[in-house]
Amino acid sequence: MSEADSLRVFATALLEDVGAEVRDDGTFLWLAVPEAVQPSLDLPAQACATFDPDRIGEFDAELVAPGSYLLEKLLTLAMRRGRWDVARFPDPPEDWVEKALRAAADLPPGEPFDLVDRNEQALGLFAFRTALTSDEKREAFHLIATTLDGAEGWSVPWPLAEEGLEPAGLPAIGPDLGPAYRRAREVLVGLMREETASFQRISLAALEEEVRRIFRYFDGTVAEVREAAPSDAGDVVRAIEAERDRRLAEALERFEPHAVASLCSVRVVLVPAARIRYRAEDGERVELRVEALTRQVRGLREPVTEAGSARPRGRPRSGTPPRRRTDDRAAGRSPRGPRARSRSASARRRGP
Amino acid sequence: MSTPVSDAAPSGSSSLSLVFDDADAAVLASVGHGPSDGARAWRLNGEAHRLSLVQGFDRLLSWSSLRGVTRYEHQERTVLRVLREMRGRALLADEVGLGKTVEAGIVLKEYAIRGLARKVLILTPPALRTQWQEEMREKFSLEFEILRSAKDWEASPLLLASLDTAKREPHGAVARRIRWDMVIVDEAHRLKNSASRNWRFVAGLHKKYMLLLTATPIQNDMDELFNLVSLLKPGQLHTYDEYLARYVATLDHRVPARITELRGRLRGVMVRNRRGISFTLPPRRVHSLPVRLTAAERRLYDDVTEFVRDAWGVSSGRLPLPARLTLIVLQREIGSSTFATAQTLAKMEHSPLFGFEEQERLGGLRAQAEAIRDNVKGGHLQSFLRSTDEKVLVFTQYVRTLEYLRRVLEADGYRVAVYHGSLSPWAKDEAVRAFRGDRQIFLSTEAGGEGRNLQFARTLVNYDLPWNPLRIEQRIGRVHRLGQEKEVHVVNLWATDTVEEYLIELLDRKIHMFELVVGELDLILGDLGARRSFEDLLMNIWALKEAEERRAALGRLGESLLKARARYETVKERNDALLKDVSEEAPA
Repeated sequence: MSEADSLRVFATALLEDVGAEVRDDGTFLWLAVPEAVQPSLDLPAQACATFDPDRIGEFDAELVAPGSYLLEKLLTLAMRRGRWDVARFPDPPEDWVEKALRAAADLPPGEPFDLVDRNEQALGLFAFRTALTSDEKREAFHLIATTLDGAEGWSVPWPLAEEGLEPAGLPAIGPDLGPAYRRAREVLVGLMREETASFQRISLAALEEEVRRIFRYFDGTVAEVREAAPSDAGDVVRAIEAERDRRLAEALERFEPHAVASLCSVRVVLVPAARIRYRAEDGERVELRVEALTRQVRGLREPVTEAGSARPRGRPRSGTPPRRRTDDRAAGRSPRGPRARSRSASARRRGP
Repeated sequence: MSTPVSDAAPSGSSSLSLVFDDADAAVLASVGHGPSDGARAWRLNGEAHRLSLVQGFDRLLSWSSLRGVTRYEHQERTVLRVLREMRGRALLADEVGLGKTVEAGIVLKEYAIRGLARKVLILTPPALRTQWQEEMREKFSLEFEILRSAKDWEASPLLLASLDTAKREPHGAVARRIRWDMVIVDEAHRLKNSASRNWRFVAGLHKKYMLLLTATPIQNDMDELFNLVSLLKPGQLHTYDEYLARYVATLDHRVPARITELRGRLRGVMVRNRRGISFTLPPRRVHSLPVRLTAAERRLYDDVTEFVRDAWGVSSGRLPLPARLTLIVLQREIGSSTFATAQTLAKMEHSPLFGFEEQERLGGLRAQAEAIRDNVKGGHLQSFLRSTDEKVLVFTQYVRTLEYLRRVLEADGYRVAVYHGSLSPWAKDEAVRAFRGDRQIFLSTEAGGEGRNLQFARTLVNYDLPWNPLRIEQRIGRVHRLGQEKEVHVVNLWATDTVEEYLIELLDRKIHMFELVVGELDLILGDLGARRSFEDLLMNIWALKEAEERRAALGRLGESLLKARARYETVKERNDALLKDVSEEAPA
């Protein structure tokens, strides 16, 4: 999809979502804008928008393109709305656990595993925007899923298909998202570690080069001035040094790297989850967790040994990125029905 | 306050920490309070953030929002070099006519879209402020304010000022206090002298990014190049003494040394695109059509001129500015049409700027003008148009003249697209579209299609001649520009024994301005060395009572122009010789 097409889809969806009537004739969007959002968009009740810069002004059409006034207004409005939501994942097919496990954990076909339990889990989805800035800017968007108790967190791709999610009320655990948010931050910090360090290296290298050149130039100039007129150099040297300091401050301001993150939105999703146990290649019994939304398979850090003792262990064979399979959802509800799941289990706190 | 979260770095480490926005707490606190905006709003929130992400300078974001800007590879390459390699500090030294202004505009727009340029200053020569303002608005949708008072410095995020005004107090001190995200200096060769107030003013501005625009960074000697580069990146050419020792061969500082090495260092801060084969414009042919005024027109012209000279001379330089401007306008209008003149005479007749006797004279002149129903120049235009099947742009400075011509031409059966400053943006676009379609004539005032591509036509008529030669050049630039493939014809209509004949004498016969590439004239006029504008110089000559004096003064101005043109040619050659390989890839 081209950039203009993406903008068109976004603008139309947003305007419809805020109650506008939108008619798209292929060149222009003809809009009936509800009174409530007219000030936010700085649009009259009847308005016209275009994605083609050569059609600006025709029928008073306003441009929607990167950097345009109307797009900025649309983006601002969209960012001000939709900051939180609660949804329930509909019942997946019966075999979703096995499919998720084999896809994500690389479990060979036919390899037996034990389903320890099924439950409904509440996940927090935290959308973050990060910006690395110096004299340039690099931004990214991250979606982090966490368990609501903050015990676990992992990155998930956007768009995480949410078609078919059903509206829901906040889970019994209540709206205290503090632990989950803190875990999401930690996950984000980890995700950004390498890029942040690389950005810092590049910015500081540029700063160092600039500072070195400034010192070489101004100090060299001072030396030349002193050599040319040793007795009259005082004022000139002071002026040059003041200019050097000003340039150094300017360089620092230009190249100093900053890394900031801001939370864009939060979504709580009630989702079917399961605990699985199976015997790994080395004979260890491994317990895994998986849920139907992100299908990220999470392994316990301590394997369950025959003797019941634990020793540190890395991630089990799950190194594959999570995969969404929309056909699972389309395949219909579980034959066990919604009541088959333990609703109380969704609120159960689990240790790491 | 925001919250830094350590990146698990050892204590005391200087590794960059991700700082979390304190506003996150408000987002968290909003969860569960009141109804949710819904699943679609949640998804649109994410989409809005993703659509507005900035990912370094991996690509140019501004193209889809630019208007009337043809995409040229050399400009795209230049902008990316400035953004990626020069990190926003560059000397844009393209040859005249290759679009330095557009390059600067795109660089600015790229920074603006990324939120990196919010407070911007453009410094131009006074005569180019309006042109820059129009171009930034029309092509880049950037609304620059022109500096009018000291309050504008703080109030206007995007500000245009003449360097001459900006450096003077109280402006200079205010400008130096502001933290500019970006400063753009047009005709930056005016910063050639590091001891000048111009140079010191620009050097003293606190700025993040800076673009210097000039086709001729070297005017006289190699010091000028050093001074320009040192404004952008002090030390790029070493210290001054080292620079002289390494890169200057002679005591008069005019001859460069170690040219290859010097060019290598310049590449870090300078872009110079040269005119390749596909950027060589086709020739211009200039057709001069002198017109003899009818007896009634001649009488009116002479009477108006006599009034202007009397009023100008009596005041001997102490004429209030409004009166002075009115007289200039009147004299310019009589060179355009009697219809334009009549309207101004009617206003002047009741103006307190003029005494009772003068008002009486003005009333008589107005009656004379109104009695003339037709202008001989209009007939000449009709004759010319009958001789061609081409699409023709007809330029006039005045709406009243435009209305008269429209009447005459439509009566002749021509379909005319009319374009003037009072039209809405849409109506302007429509006029251009109509001309591109089935209209043969594009009848336009000075606002004639700034930034609009009209090079599908190749013939233009100057029905009258603006006294500001840059205006004439802008008219020609509408058709004689990148993209024009055919020979361009410029037809100048002018009446004998008028100021316009002086203009033709100076601009066409003396310096052959109609053969110059668009942009070169600025450099020649800028080098006249006069503090007054070209229009002022012309008016002062025309206002002289004695024909002999006028002739002598005209001769002197002509000589000055000739010298300025010769100097420009020398400077151009010098720059071409030294800088020809600074840009590795010239446009093919």
